[in-house]
Amino acid sequence: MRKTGEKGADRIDKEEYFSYLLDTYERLVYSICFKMTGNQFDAEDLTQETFLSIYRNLATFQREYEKAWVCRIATNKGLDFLKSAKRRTEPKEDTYFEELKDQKANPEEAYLQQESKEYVYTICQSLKSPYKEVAVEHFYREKSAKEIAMETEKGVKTIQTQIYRAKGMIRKIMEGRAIG
Amino acid sequence: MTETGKEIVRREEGNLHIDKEMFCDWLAGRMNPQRESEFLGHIGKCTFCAQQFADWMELPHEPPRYLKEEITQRAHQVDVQVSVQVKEKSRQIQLFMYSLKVGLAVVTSIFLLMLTANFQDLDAGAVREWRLVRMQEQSAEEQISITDTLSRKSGEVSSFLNEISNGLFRMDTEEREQRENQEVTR
Repeated sequence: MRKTGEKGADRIDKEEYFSYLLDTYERLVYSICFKMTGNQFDAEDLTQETFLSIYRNLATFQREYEKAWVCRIATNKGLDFLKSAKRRTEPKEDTYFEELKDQKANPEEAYLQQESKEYVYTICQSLKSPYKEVAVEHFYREKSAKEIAMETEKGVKTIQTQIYRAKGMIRKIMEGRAIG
Repeated sequence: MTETGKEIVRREEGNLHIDKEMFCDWLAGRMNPQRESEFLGHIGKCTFCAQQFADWMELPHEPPRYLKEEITQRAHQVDVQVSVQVKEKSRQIQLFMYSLKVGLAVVTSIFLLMLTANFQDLDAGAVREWRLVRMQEQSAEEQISITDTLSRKSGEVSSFLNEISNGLFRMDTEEREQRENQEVTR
C-alpha cells in the first residue's frame, strides 16, 4: 500500500503539472478552439473541456509529447463541436462583421482581438439586467466572478449563477441569429 | 489539379500526414466541411501531425483573464475529483487483476510442470516396482517349483526307503517263521 506521504506528493506533483500545462498551453488551446468555434463563448467552453479532459487523464498523459497530446485533445473536442449540426449554422465573426472584413491576407493580431471584443460587447448588450451588466464585466472586461462580487458587493455564488445564466442566454441569441 | 486531386496524389505517394499547405488552407477557411473534418480527424489521431499543427498554429487570441481560474476551480469540483478517483481506482484494479492473472498463469505452469515431472518419476517407479514384484513373483514361483521338486523327491526317497525297510522287515519275518516252522517240525 502506498504511504499517505507518497500519495500527497503525487497529488501535489499532479496539481503542479496541471498548472504548468494550463500556463503553457492555454493560449494554444484557446486559439485552436476559437478558430473552430468562431466565438469567445464556445471557445471558452471547449478550452475548459479540453483541460478538464487532460486533468482527468493526467495519470496516462504522455509527458514527452505533451504539446502534441494537448493539441490532439483540443482538436478532438473541436471536432465534436463541429459535428454538432446546430452549431454549424452559427455565424462566425468574419461573417458577422462582413462590412469590417479586412481584404488583406493576414489581419493584424490586435485588429482581430479588437473585433472579437466588439462582437462580445455587442452580444452582452443584448441581454437584460442584471445579466447584461454581469456579462459585460465578465466576458468583455474579463473580470472573474470574485472580482465582480467584490465590486458589486454581492455573493460570489450569485454572480457565478448570473454568469452561467447569461452564457445560456447568449447561446440562445447566437443560435437565433444563426437561424435568422 | 484540383484540391481533391492533390489529396489523391499525396495518398498514392503514401504520404498520409498533413502538410503546411493544408494547414494554411484550413487556417484561411478554404477547406470545405468534409475536408476540414478529415483534416482535423487526422490531427486528433496522429501525434506527429498534432505536433506539426501545434508548431504551425498562430496564437492570435488571448484567452480571457478569468479562464485559468475558472478551469482550475472546475477541476477541483467534486464531480471531476470523483471521476478522477474512480478512473485511478479502476486502473489500479485493472493492474491488480492483470497481475493476478499473470501470477496465476505462472503458478499453474509451475504446478503442471512439477506434476508432469512427478508423474514421470512415479511412472518409472511404478514400472520398477512392478518389475520388482514380478521378479519376486517369479522367484517365488521358482522357489515354489524348487520346493515342489524337493518335496516330491524327498517323498520318493522316503517311499523308497520305506519300501526297503518294509522289504527287510518282511524278509526278517519270513526267516523267523521258517525257523519256527523248522523247530516245530523237528
